[in-house]
Amino acid sequence: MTDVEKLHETIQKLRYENSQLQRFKQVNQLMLNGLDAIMTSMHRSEVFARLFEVIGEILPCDQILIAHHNEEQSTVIPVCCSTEGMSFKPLRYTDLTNVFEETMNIFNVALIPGWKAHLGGWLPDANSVLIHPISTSQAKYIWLISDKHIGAFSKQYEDIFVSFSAFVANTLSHFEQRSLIRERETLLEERGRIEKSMIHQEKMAALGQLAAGVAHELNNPLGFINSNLASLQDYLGDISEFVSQAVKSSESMTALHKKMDMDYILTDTDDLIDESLEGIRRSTDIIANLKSFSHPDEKTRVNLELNAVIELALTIIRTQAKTVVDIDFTPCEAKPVIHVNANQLAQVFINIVTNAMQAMTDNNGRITITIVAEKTAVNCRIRDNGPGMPAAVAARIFDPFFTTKTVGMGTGLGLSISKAIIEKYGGELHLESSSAKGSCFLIRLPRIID
Amino acid sequence: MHSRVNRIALQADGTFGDSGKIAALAEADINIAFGDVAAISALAETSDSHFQESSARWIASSSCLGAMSHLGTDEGESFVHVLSLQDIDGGAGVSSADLTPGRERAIAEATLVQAMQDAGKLGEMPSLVWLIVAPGHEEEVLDGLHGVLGDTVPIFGGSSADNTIEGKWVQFDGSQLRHNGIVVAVLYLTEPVSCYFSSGYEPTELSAQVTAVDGRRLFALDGEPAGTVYNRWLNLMEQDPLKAGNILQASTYFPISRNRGPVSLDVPLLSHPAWLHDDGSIELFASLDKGEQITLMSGHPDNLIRRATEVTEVVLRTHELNYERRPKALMIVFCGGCMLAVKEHLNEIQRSLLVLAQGVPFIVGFTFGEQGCFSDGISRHGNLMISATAIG
Repeated sequence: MTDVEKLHETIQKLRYENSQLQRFKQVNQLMLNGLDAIMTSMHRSEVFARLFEVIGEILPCDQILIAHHNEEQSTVIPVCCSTEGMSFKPLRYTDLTNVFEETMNIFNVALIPGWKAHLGGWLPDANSVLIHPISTSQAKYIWLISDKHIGAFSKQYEDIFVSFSAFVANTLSHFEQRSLIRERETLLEERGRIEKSMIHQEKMAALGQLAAGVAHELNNPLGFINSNLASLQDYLGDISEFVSQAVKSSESMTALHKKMDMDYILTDTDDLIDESLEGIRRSTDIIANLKSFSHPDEKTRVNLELNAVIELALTIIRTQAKTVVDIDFTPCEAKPVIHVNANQLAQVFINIVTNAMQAMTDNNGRITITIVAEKTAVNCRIRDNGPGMPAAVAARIFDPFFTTKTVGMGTGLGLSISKAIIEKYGGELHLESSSAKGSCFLIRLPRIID
Repeated sequence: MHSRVNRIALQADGTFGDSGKIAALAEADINIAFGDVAAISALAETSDSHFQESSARWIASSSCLGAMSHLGTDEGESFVHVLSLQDIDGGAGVSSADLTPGRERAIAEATLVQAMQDAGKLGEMPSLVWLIVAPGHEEEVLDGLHGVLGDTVPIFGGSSADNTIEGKWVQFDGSQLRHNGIVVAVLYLTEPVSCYFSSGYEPTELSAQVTAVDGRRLFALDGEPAGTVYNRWLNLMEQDPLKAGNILQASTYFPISRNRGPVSLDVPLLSHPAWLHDDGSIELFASLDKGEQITLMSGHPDNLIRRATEVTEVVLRTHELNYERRPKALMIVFCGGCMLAVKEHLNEIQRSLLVLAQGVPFIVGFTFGEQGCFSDGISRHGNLMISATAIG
């Protein structure tokens, strides 16, 4: 071999070694800068925007894109793109199965039949495209690099591109895992909430049964006590008439009447009977409430506008509240429709608003009712500017028979019945907040969409 | 991918006696073959009965005085040497066409596109393009291939040859035998490919500028008739001046070179002077451009004998360095002109290659023009060149 050719071959060998080292250097640089991109960004779009910048520096190209295979819909849709503001139409997976199988180095897209109708829509200016399939434990992707020049991607470029694919796959897996962890946390929270709710429901069901039994057992004796007292009140009129006539007929009877203070006895007897009848009425009310608590669904439900139900409740409330508090309600413009019993739901609002009114001691009381209509639900908040309630009270307000009112002023069933009614409608009733500045109750009900 | 080489003798009756070996070739994905004109012509005759039902692709070329492989050197007898590649994961495609004068570039473009279609990979970048072409318009053919592919795919191969430079060369694509055609094969491999393209000549101090040229016909160097300048150079190299007529053999050790490749790595691309015309112009086997600088090259039989081994050694070393593996097959294209100059030493060359290859199967074709690329990646046509391609 001549010296010149020996020299050429040595140079050739060094060039190959150099290009190999260059390749390792480029892949390492990609890895390092890629890691940096992941470490310094939180959200997927941010990470991939940085990652695409890094790739673009090492592997010159016009556009980089990652597309996801949606198995349920059998479509493929880009999830990240180096060019901002582009919109992409999903493509049918069946039209792209070949690109999910092996690396494709397309040097001239014009030669690919049907290119414009498929991937050409995503990469309208590309002439050369490198495509590599990526699989993670959760999904299948393809990532594509494009350039407007024909034959832009050499074998060495392709090798670096494929070497870096594992890194891109790991990054995608990282986000899938993050998403799985988030999903798991949400499920755990949901499970905790359901378990708590089930315990509460069981407690409520037991109480409901007890209440129904007590109500049934008390109804009969209270019935005949009421009936007897009514008869006794009638008899008392006759007895008074008889005593009056007896006193007139005999002096000894007059003396005895006076001595025994029969006028007082007869008047007091009448009062005692009245008080007893009042006691019976209160007992009957309690029993009626107990029955409502155990069977809140025994009324007809229809589709109604929530605005109208609140207006109905406020008409009743304002008769008691006009001198005590201002009630502010602006009907919701979306006019959300719910499936409820108007009187029952109005009772819920009356209970909550009445409680709020009773809690406010000064003359600057204000209650605000607001509605926010979501796509599938309606959130109604009842806020007051009262003194709020201690945490120990807030924790028990939905327990049956729990009350802070003086005896005879409340049964302690209002909020528990309200909660039972709302939950029967598939909704939720919560105390959303309570502080020295006031309390806020949230009623969330399913929205009916026409 | 699996590879194997068969060397099948052509019988006196014009057929290949070993029909079992021939039939086995039908199982390959692609067969790359060299043999003398008679062997390749007989192969075409055989194809009707053996390969019609087969999906095996063929790219075969006649080679000067037969061919060579690790199984032997032909030494005037007719053999076909076939490298069969089977289970190619990416696939392979072949297409061929006759070269119509003036349309060589367009024909090359269309043939390449059809080859890609044949592989089911239209538009996808192949790992290697293997080219067999009739001598005459290789530059236009390469222009056509580059026009489709760009400069990033290695294009290697050779110009078909015959034994006596009478234009009897043939090209075969598995079904059709052509005399002035091209056959293009595209290989899509996930396994690596390494190539090397070089000559066995040393530059002299003698250099001139091309001042008048028409394609392959060189009229003037530095304003003087090209024949006058060339003969003056030969005189300075202590050689007898050449007379008008065929000068192929006499010029074998004194080709002219054009510097090609990147500036930092000038690699000589050789043109072989073939005919000295009465008007002092010289017909070459490769084109020159007006204005370019050419250099007289000097060769020595020892260099040419060692050259095939040295080039193969470079490609094996490169392959091992880059991919840490031995290739599965080697394809070597050796200039027919060089071979004729050292034909008494072909067995010696074959034995050196056997030692070097250490079990890697190889085939060697002796051609009248060589196509390959230097380290800048652009494929070119040259004469008196040698190329080695390692695959797998």
